Amino acid sequence: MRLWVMEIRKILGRPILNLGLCLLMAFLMFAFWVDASKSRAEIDGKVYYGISAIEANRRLAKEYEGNLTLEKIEQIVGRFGLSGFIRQEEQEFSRVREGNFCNQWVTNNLTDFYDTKEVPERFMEGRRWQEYGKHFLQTEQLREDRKDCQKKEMKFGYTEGWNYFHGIWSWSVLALNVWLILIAAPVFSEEYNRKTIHVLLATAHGTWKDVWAKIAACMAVAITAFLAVTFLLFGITAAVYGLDGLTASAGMIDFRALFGGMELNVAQFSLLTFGAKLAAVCLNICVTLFFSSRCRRSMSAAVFRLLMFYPLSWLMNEFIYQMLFDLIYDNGILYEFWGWLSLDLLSVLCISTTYYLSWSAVIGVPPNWAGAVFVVLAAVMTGCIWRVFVNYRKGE
Amino acid sequence: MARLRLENVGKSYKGVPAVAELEYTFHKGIYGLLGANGAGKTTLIRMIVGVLRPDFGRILCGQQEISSMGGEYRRMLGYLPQEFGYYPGFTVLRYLSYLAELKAVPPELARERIEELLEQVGLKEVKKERMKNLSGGMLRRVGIAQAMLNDPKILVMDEPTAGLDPRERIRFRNLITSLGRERTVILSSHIVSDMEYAADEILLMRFGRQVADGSVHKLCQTVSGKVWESMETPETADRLNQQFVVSSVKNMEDGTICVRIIADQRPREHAVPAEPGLEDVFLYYSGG
Repeated sequence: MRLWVMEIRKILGRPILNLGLCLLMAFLMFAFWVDASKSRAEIDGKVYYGISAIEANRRLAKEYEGNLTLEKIEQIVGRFGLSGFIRQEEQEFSRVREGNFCNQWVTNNLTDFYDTKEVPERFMEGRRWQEYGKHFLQTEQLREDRKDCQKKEMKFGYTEGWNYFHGIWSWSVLALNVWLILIAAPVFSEEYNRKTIHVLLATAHGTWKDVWAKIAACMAVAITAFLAVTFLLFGITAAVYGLDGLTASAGMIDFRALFGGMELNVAQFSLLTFGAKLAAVCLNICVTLFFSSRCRRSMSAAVFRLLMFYPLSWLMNEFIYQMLFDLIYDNGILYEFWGWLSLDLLSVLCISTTYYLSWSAVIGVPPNWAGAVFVVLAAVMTGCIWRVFVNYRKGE
Repeated sequence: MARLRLENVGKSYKGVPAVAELEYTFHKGIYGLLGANGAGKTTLIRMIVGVLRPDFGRILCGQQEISSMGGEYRRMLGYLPQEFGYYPGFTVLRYLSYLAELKAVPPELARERIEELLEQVGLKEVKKERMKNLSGGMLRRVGIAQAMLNDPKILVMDEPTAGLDPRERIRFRNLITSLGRERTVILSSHIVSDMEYAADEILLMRFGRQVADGSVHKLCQTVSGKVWESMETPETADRLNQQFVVSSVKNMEDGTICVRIIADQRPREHAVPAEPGLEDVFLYYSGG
């Protein structure tokens, strides 16, 4: 235990990196605050801003809470119209949406009005939305979507805060993982580089207990930092947006939740996401420690890990997958078992990387893949830890 | 008392033998591994402390092989490597507490032991100083203190006096002599004078092999009659320097030069036999 605490102190004894984490947290809080303060709600001719807008949206969403039916959707659009932009700025983030949470959600998720970005003339006059919100009631696809909503008994609720929460949470976990790489990369490589390894390996606990202490210390730092970021964001979300919407369907905040074969509400979705992100953090530590035990310099360990962290994951998902897909498709074996299997295996591998786990890519995959992802993660983590012992005991 | 036995120990790097067919037994006392750079001293020391594994042969502590003893063997061990690494941001106290924990010294005992050792190595005043602010000599003394934390039965030090000024070296030699009374101390060095003063037994190495061993007196006897001194002109001295193994060339007040030559036969007619020292032994066995 004392050794573990000492290793934690060693890991955290880097003021610049610790300051980096504090700055990151501060930036996230700032981003969250900016999002909240920009809130605007337009309800029955009255306009609210900031926290008042959030409160007004919460009250409004309560009126439509529960099963999302076609009638409710039509009521929302009938009452508020579709939501375009008040100001058409160059940069998307500075554009201001009209309407309120309810009609913005319907516009964004059940019509292509948001994507076409065409604000019709005299949009705000009367009930003209029926003329230009053509996709809402007319397209086949949307009829299918509505059927899905009804079939899955999609539940409506105020999920604006959870939407922001999940967006910022994913970015935070990505940034946190980069910070963890910088923190964990020196754990073993620094011992080689500083030539302290020989003294350590010649001590009673140097080859076994200390290696475990280093790994456990890294894990403890990583998990604590992850929990701190998560609970901080959760706390702020709850304080600003309230806990409404936790029982609404997860599909309201992430379309991937509609395809997972499970009917999840926002709370369940958040818990699953929590698991995926926690797995990302643990995996990241194991892989980084492996590189740390392989490289004599902390910088090399960090660079190799960072290259694996994003470019390799991207290459696998965006390039190799596509290439393999084309290859199989062009060769006419797309519908053959091995073709599909190789693509599925590659997908499982991609999903099991720290980068895609940070984005909770595991949400929405077929349920039987979850087992495969778990097996891959367990194998990679065990393999990395085993190699850490082997490499470190070899000395330099 | 731990008896350490090397049985036909060997280690190669990429096919080049660093240590070959070494047989030796260490008992209580101070042992010096003497050899030129690249003689295999550091490799042998790393095998003795278990950081490296021999490619062949065995190292036994008592009757047991050290690799099978694991932590039990390392509890008996104190080690100061040639390049003593440290954490610049640690204070001396924190560093020693960390090492005490790694060496499985109970915390209460560790506190006492650290104070005692800091006193012994003369670092009590700087115990709260960060290690990056210490001089080379002070760091070396921290190295000795960490090696002694667990009161080891076997103390191994690789080039402990390298880089120290003469005062520090003398201090260090005296410290080592006092430590060697109750345990096995294995020192490696290429500084012959350190060995001459500190070691009870010398193991001379060349190209990874043991070429001679014994006390300083015994080793000197083995080259008795092979060390000569001759008074020469500067030109002849230069020529002799090329021809023979010369252990010293000294300018005399009358303008002649006293050349100390190591040779099996009398190198010059007027050369007279001289009393051999460890330096002569070292040169004789290491081939000049």
